[in-house]
Parts: sequence; C-alpha cells; structure tokens
Amino acid sequence: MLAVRDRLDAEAFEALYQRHARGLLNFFLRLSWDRQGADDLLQETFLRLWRSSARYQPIAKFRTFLFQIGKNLWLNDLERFRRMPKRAPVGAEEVLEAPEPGVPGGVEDPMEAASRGELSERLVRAIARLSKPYRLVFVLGACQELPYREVAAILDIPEGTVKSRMFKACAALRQILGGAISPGEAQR
Amino acid sequence: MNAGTSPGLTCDAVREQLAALAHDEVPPPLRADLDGHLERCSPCETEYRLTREILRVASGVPGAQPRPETWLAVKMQTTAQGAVSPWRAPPQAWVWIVSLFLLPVALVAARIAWTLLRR
Repeated sequence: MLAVRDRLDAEAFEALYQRHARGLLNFFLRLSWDRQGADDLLQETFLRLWRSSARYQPIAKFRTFLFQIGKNLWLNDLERFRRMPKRAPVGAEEVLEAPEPGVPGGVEDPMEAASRGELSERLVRAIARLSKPYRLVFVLGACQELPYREVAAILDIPEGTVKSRMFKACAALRQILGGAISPGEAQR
Repeated sequence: MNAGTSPGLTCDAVREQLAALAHDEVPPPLRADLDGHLERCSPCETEYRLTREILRVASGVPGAQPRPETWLAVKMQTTAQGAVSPWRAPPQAWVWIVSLFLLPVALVAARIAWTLLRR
C-alpha cells in the first residue's frame, strides 16, 4: 500500500479497486439488499478512500481500513436505507428489527418458504431483519467470512463482542427461519 | 445442564460458543471441552448442526459483480477538476529547487511589505 502511494499511480488505485470492489459491493448488498444503494456506496467508499488515504496506518490491514470506511458510510447513509417505515424492535429481542417491505415477518411456514425459493434467499431476507450491530457482525463474519479479529477491528468492538453478537444473530435467524433450516443437512 | 468435561461448562455457555466453534475461532483448550460436551449432549449437538447449517448457507449467499460504470464514475470524479490525489507521488526534484529559490524571495517581499505598512 505504501509502495502504491509512493509510486503514485492511478493504475495502482485501479488495481485496489479491482481487488476489493466485489467484496465491498457484496458487503453492502448483504446488509441491505439494495443494488442501487450498494453501487452508490461502493462508489462513495472509493472516493473517500481517494481523499483520505493519508489517514491510512500501515499497521492496519488495508481491507480493514476500506471496510471501516464502507461501514461508516453505510451507517451514515441511513436515509437511503430507511425508505421503509420506521423500524422498532420485535418482542424482547433487541437483535431483530421490524420486517422490511417485501420481507415476511415472524416465523415462516417451512412449506410456504420452501415453495418460495432457495434457502439462501430466505436467509438474505432474514438477515435484513437483524438490527444493525448484529447484521454487521453476521454479514462480515458469516457471509464475507472475515476472521473475527478483523470483524472486531472493522467495527471497533472487542473480539468477545463479535462472538456474542454472532451467537445471538444465529439464534435470531433460526427463529425467523423456523423449520426451514434442518440440522440433518449439516454434518459435524 | 452440564454435560461437558469442564465443571463450569453449561449448555448455555456451550451454545454461546457454537458459532465461533463452527468458524474455528475458539482456542484449542476450549475447543476440546466443547467437543467433549457435544459428544455427550444431544440437544447441544443438534444446536451445533443447526448453527453450522446457517453459517454454511450464509457463506454461499450469491453475490454480484460491480458494474463497469461504477469504476468509470470513480475514475471520472477522482481525475476531474484537478482533484488532488493523495495517491500522487512526491513532487519531483525541480519542484523542491524552485520552492527553495522562491522562499527567500517571499521572505524579502514580506519584509518590504511590513516596512511599508509601518510607515
């Protein structure tokens, strides 16, 4: 990264984009399932990166730095992602948010869910119901498959909190998905 | 309920670790305790398989490719209107030489201006 900066090179910046754009786009997509919003955030993240690379500390992994910018933009861009009605926690679970338009609420009927499409699609809809702190942890750790240490660095929280939120997010997703997830499909 | 080898390892404590266990994010001593518990405790074993299944599906959620026009927009905005790039290389030697020449000139000019203003 330092070499890139020293060399100056628009080509190097483009290389960074080519290497990280897909991961970042899918990060935004899985957070909100809004293609246009994800495209806009991807673009804005790289513009911020362009302007703020002086703040980059070589002690931090570049991907961590990039995802921190992206995460902050996503959190600051609530208006875009809150086109839907104001959300309120469901029941006693602080992990869940009210369903977004088009996202079925409550526990799904497994038969109905099975007829509606792939399990991954149902999971994506369920992820959209997690509240932001849990959604961020789940998307980074489970969908993007980043190590917990990196998730903790991106979100600026302790690693233990990542573990705890991941556990609660999984429990909430199972609650939403009901019988659509079968233990028989996974082997130890 | 305590089906593990560690006295303090309850089912609740085990379940809090299941996602981390599936992600291979627990230290070896704890992992051994968790494995021991899961061998003895059928409900926790089922929980573990459910957790793994969710994580398996999550890691396979289909993604998308960035649109070419997104990069074009980034490129256009970063190069337009002489935007100052932090990715730019250090100034070349001639810039420093000219700057060193101009510095004393600027100081003399400032001194003259100051003298004139005092009159």
